[in-house]
Amino acid sequence: MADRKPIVYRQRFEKEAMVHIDALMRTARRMTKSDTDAEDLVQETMLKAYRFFDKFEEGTNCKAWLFKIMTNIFINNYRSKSKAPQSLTFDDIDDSFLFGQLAKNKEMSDPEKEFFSKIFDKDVRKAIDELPEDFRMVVILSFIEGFAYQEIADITDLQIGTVKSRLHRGRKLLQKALFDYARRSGFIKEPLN
Amino acid sequence: MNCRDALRLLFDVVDNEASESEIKKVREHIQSCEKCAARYEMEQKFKKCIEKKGKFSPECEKLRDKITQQLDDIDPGSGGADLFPSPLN
Repeated sequence: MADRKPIVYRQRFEKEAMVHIDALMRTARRMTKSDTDAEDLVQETMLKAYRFFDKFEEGTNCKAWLFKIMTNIFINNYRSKSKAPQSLTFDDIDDSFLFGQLAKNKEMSDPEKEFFSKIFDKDVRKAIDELPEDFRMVVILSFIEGFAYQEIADITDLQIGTVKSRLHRGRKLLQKALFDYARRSGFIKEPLN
Repeated sequence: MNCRDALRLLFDVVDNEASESEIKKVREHIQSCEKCAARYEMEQKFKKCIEKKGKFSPECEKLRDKITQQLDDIDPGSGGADLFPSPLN
């Protein structure tokens, strides 16, 4: 093949890019909510990354570069086609909703401790999965993958202000959802008003 | 710094985006303000909880093999055993 890549190209790719497959897969799973779609998405991402690996600047953040490629493919090919208007009433949720609910629970000696120790992993994942897509994306990139605001802005092609406000709303929705799970599971009691 | 300013910086601090001087001012404030201290603590715990419980290690050995195979198909001879030809040959 005429445009065959030199061996060092492949070696560098293995060393710098292949190590991020776990993180990509984890995020792809949360983005697509499907194991099959997630595998396809990661595969497509890695092949594209390989093809354009000469565009990756050595010494910069390879994980962020891969996430940007994946996010682009996801937005173009995988995002739910019918973007129904999101009629969520997240703006009704008070900023300090969870804090307030836990603090005013006088029946329990340490409701905060109960909440954080007993909330199930599966409920946390379910709550993330159920976030509206725009919020879900920034929440995953920040909370789970630990990217900085600026890196998230670069990955998603959003303004940093938009990243912050989506993260803010996403956090509120997540807190509300997890509090509801905790109450339903019965380890947090409904506070008396 | 008053409570309003401290809460305005809350998520910047929790998300590790605040400057050194902002962090210093917040720290001074929460030392004397129990309510803000409690709020900061809760938000930090919340973030850690999501990170810890939301982060799972996916099973990707098969996927890794599949991708490696595809790279081999695109660029035969660029990976795998060919990288280390046996000195005996």
